[in-house]
Amino acid sequence: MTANTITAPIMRISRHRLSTDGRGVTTLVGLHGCPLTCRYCLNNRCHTPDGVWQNMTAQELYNKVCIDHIYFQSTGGGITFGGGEPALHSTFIHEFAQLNTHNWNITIESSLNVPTHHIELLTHVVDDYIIDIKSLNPNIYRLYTGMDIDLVLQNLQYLISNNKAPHITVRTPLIPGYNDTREVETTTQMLRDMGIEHFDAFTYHTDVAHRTQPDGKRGKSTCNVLKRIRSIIAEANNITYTPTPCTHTTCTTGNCPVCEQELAQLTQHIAAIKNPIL
Amino acid sequence: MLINDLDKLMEEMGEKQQRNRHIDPSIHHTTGILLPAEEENNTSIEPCTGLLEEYSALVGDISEADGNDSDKDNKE
Repeated sequence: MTANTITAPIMRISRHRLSTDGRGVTTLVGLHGCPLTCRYCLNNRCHTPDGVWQNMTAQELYNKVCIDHIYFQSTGGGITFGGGEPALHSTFIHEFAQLNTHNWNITIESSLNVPTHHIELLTHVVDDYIIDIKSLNPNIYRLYTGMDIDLVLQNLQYLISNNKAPHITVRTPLIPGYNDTREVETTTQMLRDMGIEHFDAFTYHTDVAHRTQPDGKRGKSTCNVLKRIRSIIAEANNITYTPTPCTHTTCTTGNCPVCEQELAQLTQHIAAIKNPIL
Repeated sequence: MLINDLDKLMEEMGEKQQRNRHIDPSIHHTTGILLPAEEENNTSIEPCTGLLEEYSALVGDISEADGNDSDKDNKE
């Protein structure tokens, strides 16, 4: 099969993630389907069988995400495949990587609870791994995810033995009702003993009082950062660029049509330069 | 690479974004038993083994409960 025939079910493409799902400016690609049934699934649509996804070839996906090429190149960012469980679509990700001639960073957010042949294929093309371990306590893991932890450990060990430990960040969430701080510490220490160096510890919030309603401030923050990145790119390449003054104090998306136009114009300028500095 | 450390740039701009993970109890994939949420930085929660025993006593065999209820939830 070719990149034009292999497809993957894509739930969403979320642009302009700023150092939250991988390094630099990242586009998060959510793939449908997951072997786990986590009690508090953060993206429950990955289980729904009603066609909430769009099947795309690797080339079609590439054509959509390349709009942010200069952001990726200038910040070391790229594409993060999440889900769902993206590792189930290892062939698709491998095909996408063959199109990635600009060497955008490729990250996967995975539970690693997939047959090992998927991980073996991905090690050839994935730069960084964000592993959602939940817990190394087999009972807690099974209770929370509905699956055994054996494959996770096997695949994690595979990655470590292939010198991927420096490229792995393990998420160790504190999950209300399922583990506690002491258990998180135990899991973290076990992972350190295995050779893992990077961790992302956080708490799942169930309290609606903790929930931050979209108020446009996050989008405005994204807008400000992207404007700054565009300015840095323009300055490095001797391109005259003055961000369009924006009087809005909030922004829903962080990429309004005016910002998109500025990005397109800057991208055109960069494309015309023989050896652009990014 | 022009910007080696985007985090640092964002901090300098005062635009560092915090990511919060909110979970929705309404999509709880089990028999509907929602254990009490622990407040952030509160370490007084009972050891998880106790919760496991309590949970097991309520739902019986975990694997059986998981499969049935997860399927049901997904179909709904």
